Amino acid sequence: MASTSTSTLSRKLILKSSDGEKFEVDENVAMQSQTIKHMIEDLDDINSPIPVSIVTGTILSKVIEYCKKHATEDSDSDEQLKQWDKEYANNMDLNTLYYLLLAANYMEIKGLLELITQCVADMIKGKSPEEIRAHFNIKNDFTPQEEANIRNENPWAFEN
Amino acid sequence: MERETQKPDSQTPTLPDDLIFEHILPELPLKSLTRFKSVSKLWLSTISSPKFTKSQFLLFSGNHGPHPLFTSVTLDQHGGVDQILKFNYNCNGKRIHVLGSCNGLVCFCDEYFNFYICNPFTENCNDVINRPENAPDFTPNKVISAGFGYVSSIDDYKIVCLIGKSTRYFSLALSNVYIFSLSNWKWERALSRLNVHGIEIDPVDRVPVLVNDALYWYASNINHIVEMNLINAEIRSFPLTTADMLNSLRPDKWVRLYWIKGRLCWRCGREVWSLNKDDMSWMKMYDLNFTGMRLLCVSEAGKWLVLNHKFLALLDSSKSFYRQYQGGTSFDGPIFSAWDYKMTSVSPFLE
Repeated sequence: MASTSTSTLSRKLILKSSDGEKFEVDENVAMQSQTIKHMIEDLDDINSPIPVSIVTGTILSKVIEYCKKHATEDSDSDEQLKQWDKEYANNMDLNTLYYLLLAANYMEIKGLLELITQCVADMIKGKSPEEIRAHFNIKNDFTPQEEANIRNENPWAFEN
Repeated sequence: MERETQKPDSQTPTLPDDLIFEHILPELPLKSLTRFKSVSKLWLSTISSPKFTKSQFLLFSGNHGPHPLFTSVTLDQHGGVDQILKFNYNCNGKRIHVLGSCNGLVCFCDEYFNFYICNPFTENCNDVINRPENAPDFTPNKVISAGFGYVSSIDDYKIVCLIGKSTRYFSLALSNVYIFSLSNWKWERALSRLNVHGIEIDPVDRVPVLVNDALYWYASNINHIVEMNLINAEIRSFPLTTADMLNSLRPDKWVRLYWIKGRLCWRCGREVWSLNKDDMSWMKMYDLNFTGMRLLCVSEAGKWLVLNHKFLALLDSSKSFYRQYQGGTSFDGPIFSAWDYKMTSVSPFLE
């Protein structure tokens, strides 16, 4: 279908979350997701909802909030945008952060993925190996001797 | 079908390994990564892979002004990661000069050639190592060069001082050598073993380079490299070039020595040559095109730490320097010298 939109008027797309919630967004907002960009290319009817199959409505609304902010590049300076990103990420609890990470990864939104990974990295960088295992649900498959050897190689890394 | 994959948002999701390894871990500083090697076997092998290799450097900013004496920076292949520590040592206003860094220890001396060995990470510094007593030729104006090295086979750190006597060209010709052993806490004279005379060490390269238990200097007047074996204190010299290499030595450029991937190398202008110790032959490694950048030092993996205006970057010699250069970590403050460095808890007080 031929686009009748001008440069100021963008087409609308409908995104559908895994729990059936529908979101109408500007094309330039949705196109920040590489995954959706590719889906649109294969789409016959632009008016049919685009399924974002692993993302719930709660999370998708937050993803859209991010994409909207970053779709309008001119309105804010880099510094303001960074500040906005910081507040955006700081307002999330851990679960939301992880669901956002999964969503950004699945939807291939580079900026959001980088923002959340940095945020998670900051959260875990001070943790002990035991805390990391508990945090990511990882089984310790070292013998006590093996684990002690690794620690003894770099004792400075275990000091505060 | 869409509903089947839905989970309640109240439950913490499990992050897939590739998301953790490809995206989260590369963002972590060196200290966390090193600690997380003990999480599990998979984490150990992942973090040990070359992809996670980081290079650490110690930058020396001099003890003037508000800048720290030393700053350790860690860089990955893409540029900056983190500046880990800033270390200050009160030298009572004396100008200091860095001799080198081994196993996380750094050795420096003041203008009177009193020596200090410290670990900037643990902030331990040993007592002042004073100049040897009963050594009339060991005076500050007679010291040609001082170097610092570690000998793994005897687990000892050595400070080597070359003493010279004035020549008619107002430079110093090598006449004596003093070696300090940290484990014995004693200076020794190596004069009797000296078999090279009239050697003049280039003033620009006053700090020798350490390669496999030996220190190396460049003697420009005879175009030789002077080698000091730290195990037996023997000194010898050998030619820097062979006849067919002489064109590579530009008279308007200094010769500098480096330790690159376990080999002794020299650079004159753009050309970098390395020594094959088996047959003592020199082989050209590559040409560096670094116009406009300042070469600071070489990493253990053979990458060059460069300063472009105020930005530090780590560049691979096998690719074009310019194509690789994209920003880097900004560094405020002067950089007098930079050293390949490893953060350790090694104590400067040896038992």
